[in-house]
Amino acid sequence: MNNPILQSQSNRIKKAVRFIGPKAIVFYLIVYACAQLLFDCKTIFDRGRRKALNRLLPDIAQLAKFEENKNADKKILEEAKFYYQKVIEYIPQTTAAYGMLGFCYYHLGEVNKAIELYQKAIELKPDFFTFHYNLAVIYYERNEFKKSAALLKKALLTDLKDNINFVTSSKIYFFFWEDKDKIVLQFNRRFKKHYLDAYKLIVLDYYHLRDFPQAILPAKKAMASGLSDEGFFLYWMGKIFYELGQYRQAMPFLKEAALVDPQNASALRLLGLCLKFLDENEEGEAALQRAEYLSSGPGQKATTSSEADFKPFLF
Amino acid sequence: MLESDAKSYYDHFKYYIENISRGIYPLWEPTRQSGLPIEFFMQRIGSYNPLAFVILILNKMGLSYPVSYFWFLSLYYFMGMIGFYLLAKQIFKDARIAFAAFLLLMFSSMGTRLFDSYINLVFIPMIWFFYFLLAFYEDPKKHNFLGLVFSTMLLIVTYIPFYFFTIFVFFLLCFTIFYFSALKIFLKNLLKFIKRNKLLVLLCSLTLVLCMVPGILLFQDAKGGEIVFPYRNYDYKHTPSPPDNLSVDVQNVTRWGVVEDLLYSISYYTDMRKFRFAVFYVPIFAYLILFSALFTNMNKKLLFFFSLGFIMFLLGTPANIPVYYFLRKYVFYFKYFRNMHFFLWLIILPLMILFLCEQLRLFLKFQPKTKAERRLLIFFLIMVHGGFAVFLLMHQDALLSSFLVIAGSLAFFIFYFQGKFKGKAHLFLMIFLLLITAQPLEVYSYFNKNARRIPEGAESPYRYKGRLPYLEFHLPSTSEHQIVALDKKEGEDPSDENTKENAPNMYMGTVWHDFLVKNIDAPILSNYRKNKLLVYDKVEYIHDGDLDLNKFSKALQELQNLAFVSSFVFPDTPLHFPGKIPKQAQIITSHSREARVSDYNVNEITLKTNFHSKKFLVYNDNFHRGWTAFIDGKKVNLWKANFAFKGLWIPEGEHVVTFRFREFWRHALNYLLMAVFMIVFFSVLWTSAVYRAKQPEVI
Repeated sequence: MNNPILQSQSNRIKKAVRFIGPKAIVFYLIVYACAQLLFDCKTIFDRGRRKALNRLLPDIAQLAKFEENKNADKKILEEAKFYYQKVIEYIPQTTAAYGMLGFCYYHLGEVNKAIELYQKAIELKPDFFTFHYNLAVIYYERNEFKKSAALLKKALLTDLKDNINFVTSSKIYFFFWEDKDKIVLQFNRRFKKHYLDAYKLIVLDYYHLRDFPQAILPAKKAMASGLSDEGFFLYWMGKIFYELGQYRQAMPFLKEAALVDPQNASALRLLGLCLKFLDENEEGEAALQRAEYLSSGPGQKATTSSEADFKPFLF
Repeated sequence: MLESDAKSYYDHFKYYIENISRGIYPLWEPTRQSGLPIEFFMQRIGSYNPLAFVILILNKMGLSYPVSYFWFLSLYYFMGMIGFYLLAKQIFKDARIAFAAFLLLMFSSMGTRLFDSYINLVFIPMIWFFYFLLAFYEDPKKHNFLGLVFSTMLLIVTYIPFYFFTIFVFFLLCFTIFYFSALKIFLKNLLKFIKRNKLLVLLCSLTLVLCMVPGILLFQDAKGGEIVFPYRNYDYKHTPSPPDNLSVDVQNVTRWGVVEDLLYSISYYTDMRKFRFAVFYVPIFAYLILFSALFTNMNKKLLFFFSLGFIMFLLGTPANIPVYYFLRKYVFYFKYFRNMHFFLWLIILPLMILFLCEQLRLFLKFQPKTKAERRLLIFFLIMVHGGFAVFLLMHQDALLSSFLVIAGSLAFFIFYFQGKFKGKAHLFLMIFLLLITAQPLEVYSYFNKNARRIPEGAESPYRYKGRLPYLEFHLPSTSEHQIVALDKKEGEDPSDENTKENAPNMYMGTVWHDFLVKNIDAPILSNYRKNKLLVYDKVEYIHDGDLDLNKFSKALQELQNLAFVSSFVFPDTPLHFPGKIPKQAQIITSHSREARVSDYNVNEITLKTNFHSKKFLVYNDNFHRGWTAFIDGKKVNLWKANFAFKGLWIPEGEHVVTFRFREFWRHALNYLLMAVFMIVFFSVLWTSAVYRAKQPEVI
């Protein structure tokens, strides 16, 4: 190489290489490139993350306590929130995690975030009962009955078997159990209970919206399906007819409700009022007295059919 | 509250300390799984370690056991960190950098592992091993040699020496590649030392061999097939008689590795307020060193640290990288240990810190020659620190201390390169201290907040509690046997916790006891075991393989007067005695006249008996061939009775019956080893003190 310009350029390059070559940053880049070439880093990381998630899993039994007791130890909620956030971060397609995270936020008092997450979960899995139902419960508690009713309608259209299949195929719900048959049975029972609650809730939603014809439909459907409701629907059918001023139609339902649950003071009270409206004052007074005795008498248990006694919860 | 493995180590130490304070080196544990040899657990804690006596001393000084134990852990950890400081000083020849290394390790999450793991028991002697190795290389004197021997002894007798051995082999490999000439010098010096100190080297070699004996015995015992590890040995679950009970199933090993440990830790990095146990963490200043030193030159030392760390990383990633499989196939001991992710803590973490400290050393050595160079450097530092701060803001719910450290670090480096610290070594170290400890202090405050606590009034979560009932022998006060009913109704949930189907996999136990747990209903078994000593009139000899489970289970349930004795040959001894015999076996109670316990420790029990006729006595503590029985000092046959327990024939009249675990020499070996450890430990201290006294004082 006789050309002095070329030679000086080559010297400069050599100098630059000599300067930059031994630098730590170059070494890191080489190591990174080699690692990418030699190993399937993405798969290794994906697998590793999933295993790491298993270790982050909170105590689900403790978390489940929140279903019926909102005042359980909140520490577990923070742990669970962290876990489900990580699940969503690592495996964003895990629909169930959105629902569970919503559950955590709800119990941590961040209801708006819970709503967002349930909405996202419904967007990803529109045919799963629980997401619709839980969001409906939240709306119901916020007195947004229209939204609640719309969601419950969709929830009630979902198929029980599909729901159980989804739950048992989702690792979020299922991977910590080994005895699948036993768990399927348990979920079957739980879903049936919540389907019943969904019927109850939708009746209440429409009742609050004063849309009585719409409220009668699910109540009739629930009664026809033979779900054990301890006279809830009978009472509410009676109450709806009473509100509509159709006292004669209301009476058989209220009588039946009082028969199914003789302690049902609400049913007896309404029955008494209906009888009075129909000028059967003597019988009406007797029913009212009985209702009064049940509500204020010593040791008498309260009615199970009034709205205050029905406490839907997220699950 | 201790968590995970740290809990059982706390228990093992307690069991050891309680026994040794009574002059007994425990070899048997009667309260675990109806009795099992405890040598495995004693090996895990490194029971010969003279420093463990700190617990005993503190306890005797009046501190409670938990407080004494935590003091021991803390002191041991601090000792390890001092060792690391000395090691770093040997490597870098720079006290400032060694101090940084000390602080980085000290405030890494290695310390948190004292409370959820046992790796520090291996890690700390390993640090001292490498310190003494390097010290001996530079100065082949007796105290360094003895230190090397003592730390090796500890590593041999603590937990599983395979981690250390693997690390040492790969260390040698890398050292040979990078420092071949130094290795030659080392070997030359070693030979010279051996020639000069033949007797000492011979004694030390014998000592090292002696230290291996308990491990070898343990290995042989386990090979005997009497002890099983159902929890860790997958093969065992599927094959009732695995060829090798100590081996670990591959699935068990590949389940978790270094990558998983790191990814698990990273999931906490976004919000350090959630910090928990087993999160791999080094103070944020370490990352600032890494980025600030991006343009320092690589050198041989850095390459050596990196190569060794990288090899260990590959080995610690068994699920994805086939290095582990290769070694498992060709190196025998790889099938005997799991938890490959421990390499992250044992070697990768300290190597990472040494790597960063070498980079820091090189970075601080850099002297900008011109103003332009200095400006460029400052600009680079601002970019690095600023970039890192922005990254934290974008990706993390970052801690305030993180930003303070970033700002402090930037100021420190700028001032440093402007020569502001010249002649101010103390200030320099003080700033290091602040920069390295600021973030960990905040992180560990959250760690403390998140740690599980024993709820007030709750029962202690540890195994040995109360007034030491585990060291005493208690007989029931009543001889009434209540038959437990198993009234399982049709359609009842089969996985009810009281049933054998639901029996969890025990970690360790005798093979026969494991069989009983898995085949006899739990209430029957536990009700039967309540009676420690039972006396039978009728005996049936059985082959283990032909056990009629229904008959056997019924006999246990009703406590029938029929003992099942396992034997290959059915002897001519009468199977039962003529005359009318009671329906139920006789329960020996604390009021029984026919038999009473005259002496007891965990390794031995002595009974005084006085039966009016020949009887078969069953001691409901697991059978193991390490047990021998004596009647009036004469060795007699000890049978495996009722499938898993000990039994023997007792003649009529007054007799002294003794059950003893292990031969005399096995007991003597343990006491000998304890003495040897003590001698070598004090020799290290003595020779070091003498050496230092001889050194001319440096003014």
